[in-house]
Amino acid sequence: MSGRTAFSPLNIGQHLSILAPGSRVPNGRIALWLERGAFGSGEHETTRHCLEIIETLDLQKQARILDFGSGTGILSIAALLLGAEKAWCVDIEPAAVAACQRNSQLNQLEDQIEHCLGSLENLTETDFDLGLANIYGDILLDVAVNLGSRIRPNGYLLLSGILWEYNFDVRQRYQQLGFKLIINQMHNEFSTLLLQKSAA
Amino acid sequence: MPPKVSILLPLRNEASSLPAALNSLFRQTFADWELIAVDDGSTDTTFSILQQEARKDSRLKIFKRPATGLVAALNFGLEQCLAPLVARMDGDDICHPQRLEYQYSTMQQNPQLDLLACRVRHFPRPRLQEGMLAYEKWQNALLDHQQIERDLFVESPFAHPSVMYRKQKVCNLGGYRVMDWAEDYDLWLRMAETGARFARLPQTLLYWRDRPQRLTRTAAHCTLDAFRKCKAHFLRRRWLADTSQVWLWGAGLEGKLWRKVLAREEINVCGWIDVDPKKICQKIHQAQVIAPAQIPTNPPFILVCVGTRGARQQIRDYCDSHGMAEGQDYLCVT
Repeated sequence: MSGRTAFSPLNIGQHLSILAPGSRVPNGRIALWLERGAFGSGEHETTRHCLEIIETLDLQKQARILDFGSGTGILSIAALLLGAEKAWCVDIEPAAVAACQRNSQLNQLEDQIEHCLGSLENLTETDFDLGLANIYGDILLDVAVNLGSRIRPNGYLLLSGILWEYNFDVRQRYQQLGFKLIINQMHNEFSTLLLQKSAA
Repeated sequence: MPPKVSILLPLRNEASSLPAALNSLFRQTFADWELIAVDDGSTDTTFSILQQEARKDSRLKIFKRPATGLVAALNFGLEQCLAPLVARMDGDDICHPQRLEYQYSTMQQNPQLDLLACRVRHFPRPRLQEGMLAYEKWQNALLDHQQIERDLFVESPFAHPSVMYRKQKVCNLGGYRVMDWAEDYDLWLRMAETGARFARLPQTLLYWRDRPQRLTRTAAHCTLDAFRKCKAHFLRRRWLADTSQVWLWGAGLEGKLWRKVLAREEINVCGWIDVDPKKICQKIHQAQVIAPAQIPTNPPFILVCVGTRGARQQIRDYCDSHGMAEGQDYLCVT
């Protein structure tokens, strides 16, 4: 195996194992195959915390996922492996979209992922059951109205990659938009929020 | 028992960002503090936010005053502080949860320290100007007393809301002063005159909000000219107390502006040093411009006022290799 694609298996939470192609799947775990990339491969604390929270969500079979700033697609892929039906992955970086496409193939999920190069404005879908955004706090503030409006009533938003200094502002902004705070995790440098949209 | 730390927070019209700032204080791992919040004539809901929070947390001591300015609010607040250690805070900034813990323990372990800052990070960053980023980087690189003192005249080395200081030290100096320049820089320079010891923690413990209406952008006493005046004033009192003549390294616009402020302090520029061949051998205001290699033995004190990025270090290296000592033979002031 080439050095570029090799990395040690990484167990996250109760169920997931992040694995390089060709690795052995640890007993009892769900394999999430990933090429090594620069856009979040599970080692970064924000990605890991998102995955741990996604595991705890009761994702229904018909659940539709919006992954904004999807990078490698790791969060969407995890959500699909854990039971969701379809994901829309949006990223402004062509290299990230290409990586996400390759990873969706590695996990045989290419039929369940729609790729979108650009930003939220390039996406027409709404009524998502779960929104994922592991990006900087200032972007989360900028896109709050657009991102929030795409989540269905009672749907969830998992926001991560929020530096400490943005935590309060981001929380407050989404709460003003009708979201209820479910989890606020403060880590070494970043924080993660799980929010639920109020019923219509 | 008085608290171990008093947080000094002067405010005016900070309603939009105050909840985030207070929230960051409530999250502190170090709990033995009081907050001295001085509302300097707010016309928005700042004071009602303070009242609301003070009802929930008795550590908040809140004061409403007519708008008399930052210095008056700071001095009034300082008088109210019961703790021997004062941590400054602003109503639009955010503290890391361990800020007070780290600063308090370091001050306790180092009784010789008079003021302890921490590293800061501006936010939001996307529209942050290059100059602010450079200032942040420069400031954050100064950790020990020697580094801070060496660069004391380059710029103000501390973000005011990032410092913790000994109340007695500042009170002995008469607290803050209204001058033609920034009250914090004025304080650091007065502290330095009396031999105060400074340091900075290597951790980033203050998040410094950048916004268009920030005082450092808008106030007359925070302009570059105000800073030059401030530096010239303090140089006159200490470094240039026994001389009326200096040389300036840097014959560009900055150097010429320095010549003007030094003239107000009755200090004459009797020579210029520059690397630009077009300037060498010219005369500026009757003073000769020479190349660094032409610096005579035992020249008058040299003020380095070259602001170009990287130039300061090159000049320091040059002086070092030519037997000139910083602080004794020359000083960087830009």
